[in-house]
Amino acid sequence: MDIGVKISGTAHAILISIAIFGAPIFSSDEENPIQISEVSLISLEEFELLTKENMPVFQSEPEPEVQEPELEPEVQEPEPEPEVQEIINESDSDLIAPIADEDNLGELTPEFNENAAPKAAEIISDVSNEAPEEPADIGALEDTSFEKVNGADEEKLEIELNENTPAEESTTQIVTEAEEQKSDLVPSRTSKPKSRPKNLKTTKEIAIKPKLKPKEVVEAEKDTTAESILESLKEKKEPEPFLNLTPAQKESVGNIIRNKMRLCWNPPVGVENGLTNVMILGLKFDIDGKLVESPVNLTPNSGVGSLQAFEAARRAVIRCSPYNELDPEIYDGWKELNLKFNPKNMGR
Amino acid sequence: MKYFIKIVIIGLVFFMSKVLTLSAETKPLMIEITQGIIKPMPIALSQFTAIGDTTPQYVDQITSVIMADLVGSGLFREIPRSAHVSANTNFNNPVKFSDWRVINVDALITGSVNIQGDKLILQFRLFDVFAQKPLGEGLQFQASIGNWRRMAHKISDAVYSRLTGEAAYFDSRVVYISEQGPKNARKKRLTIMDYDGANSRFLTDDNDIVLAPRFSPNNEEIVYTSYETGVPKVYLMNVDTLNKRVLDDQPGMTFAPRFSPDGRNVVMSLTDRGNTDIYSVVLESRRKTRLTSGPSIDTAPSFSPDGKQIVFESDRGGRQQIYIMSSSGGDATRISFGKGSYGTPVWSPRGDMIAFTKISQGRFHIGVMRTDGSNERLLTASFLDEGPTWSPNGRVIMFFRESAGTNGAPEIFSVDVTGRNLKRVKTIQNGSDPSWSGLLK
Repeated sequence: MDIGVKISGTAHAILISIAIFGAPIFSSDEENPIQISEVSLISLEEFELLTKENMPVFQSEPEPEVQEPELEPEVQEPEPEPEVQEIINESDSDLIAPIADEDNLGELTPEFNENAAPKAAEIISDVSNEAPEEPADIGALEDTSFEKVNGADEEKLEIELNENTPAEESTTQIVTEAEEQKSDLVPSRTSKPKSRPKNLKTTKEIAIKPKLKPKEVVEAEKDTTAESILESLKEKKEPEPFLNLTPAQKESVGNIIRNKMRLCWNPPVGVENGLTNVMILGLKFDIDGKLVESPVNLTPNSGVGSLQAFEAARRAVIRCSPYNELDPEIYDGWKELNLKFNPKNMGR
Repeated sequence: MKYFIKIVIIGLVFFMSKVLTLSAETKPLMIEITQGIIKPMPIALSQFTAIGDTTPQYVDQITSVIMADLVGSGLFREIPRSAHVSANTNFNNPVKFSDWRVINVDALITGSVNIQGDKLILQFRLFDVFAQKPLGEGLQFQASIGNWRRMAHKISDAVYSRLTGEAAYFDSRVVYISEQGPKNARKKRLTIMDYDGANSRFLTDDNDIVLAPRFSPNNEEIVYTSYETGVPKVYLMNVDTLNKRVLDDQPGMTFAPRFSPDGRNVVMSLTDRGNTDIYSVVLESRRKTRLTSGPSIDTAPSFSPDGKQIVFESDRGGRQQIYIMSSSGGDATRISFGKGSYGTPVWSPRGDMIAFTKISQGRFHIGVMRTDGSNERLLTASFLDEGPTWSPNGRVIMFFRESAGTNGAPEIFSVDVTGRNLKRVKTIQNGSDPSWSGLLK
């Protein structure tokens, strides 16, 4: 065998070994900052003796003797502050406040506690607190006041659901009286799905870190560069890869989801952009096919009706849960799914 | 050199890790859903809590109006109270979502009715049952008890807006022509009502023929055509005081009036010596400006929401067609090119569409098209459909439909802009020429 091949083979073997098992070459030249000291086992009694001698003892200060007054003064609870009610002008287009951040949909709890004492919702304050006095003649409704009621405590999300069936008077097409009507609505935009926000963040960090430095500092920062590569590798490992499903398996998973959505998804087609808003939802499942968290809106854009489109898709996903038809043997292939809800063909 | 080796090794490791992970996906599987079901969203109105002097009858009346509004929109379906598992007797109690989910309720409305003397306070909250969270904040409405229907409509508007993401239209009114009697001697009266037909009130007696009323942008005045002097003339009337005045007392017939979006001008047709053209009248000064000219009949003008353009019908091309011109007049562009005749164009309050009447092959249609004439869609078809008017949010069109025969009579209908949810609007008599107000303040 050629000596060059031998040398090359040996060198590669060493390199691969180093790569797999690590090597002193990776150890820092600096002194190990972690100080190591030897310890020996001691008994509890010995420990107490040691600590008694050396440890400061915390003593509570002697409590002053409290002489109970013969008659306790009445403690008057401070009167609750009158709740401020926001009077909303009718012309204010924002009568309804936006819903909470979709990414923060509350914790998951298994069941609703029926026996829990009803919470006193912080709702409407006493009528006497309401600001405007009514004029004597209230013929018109100009003096109608609109007040926000303080929101009730948000109930926690329950995921386990009953199976549902579609309503009887459902259809898959819109048919108008005039038979000449044609569906000319097309999606106004494409909605190429992006990865989950978490992944997006990771990708961004990777892209930003290896910045080119001025030449003179490159030498000094080589270790930092190496670290950044290692870090990026580490970061890439965080989201566990998904099982590469065969086309048949993908088809099977897709069909199961699509068949369920066919019965559960009721897009808001009657409203503006109802037939053009394409929504992408990110779902995470446990091995039993139950959702482990509330669906995440991955749609990159938002416009008129997109909130309602998302809510309709979210309802569909929750309504159809659990997805126990999915094969647990290929769980790693569907533990997370992205569903793209595209209603453009439902308008006729 | 040492650093170089490090980089080489790290690169090698990176390469190997790539090779090893080639068999795994890095992104979740994407599944496209293109089929679902189209059905009205199932909603439930829980029994509203009665407070103060409130009687159960009042609660029922108010909740009935709310549910009629929402279900009437065609977008929602009521889960009847008989199916409710949870009574939810106290407005302040937490909602037991499982009770509503089991009966397939998507959205739940809870509320309370509080009557104190002459004062009525309505509160409500809206919940997404499947997400188990409130949709928006609760709202409270307060007014004198006589306005209970309007307050119920306000709740419906708030619910509709939240669930659809669009402006609503329930708290609005319609002015129209009440018609009674045989076709050859029909009595016509100017009438105003809530959008749902409630609270009807005559604005004129039946002595004179009246036609084509139109609301002002502030919903306080109307313009209409009356034969009070024997010649059709455009009048301006305050709907509260019923004070009226003729808009233009010069010779000639004036008709088909409509306010500009700022309420300062009225456009109308004027026929003088056999020639009908469109004029603009400044309400304050009554100064009149001619916008079209020529021997053709130019009529039925309607402003764009920004007030910059006017759509109208004209037979200048030989048949009735729809044209658009600047609001100051000048050249007009034809936008209707389909088979048949087009008339009574009305610009949508959203500005994106124009509703019209079309006569084709012996049938009348109400249709919509984009402002450039594209995407024409016919929404209705009958013996006689005419006179479209837009809801304040531009999602619903009201029009009148006359049945055939000697006993035929007009009735007011509404249809969703998608062509769905065609239904008759209740009126105290037969009705024609509806004009929908804006959302009331």
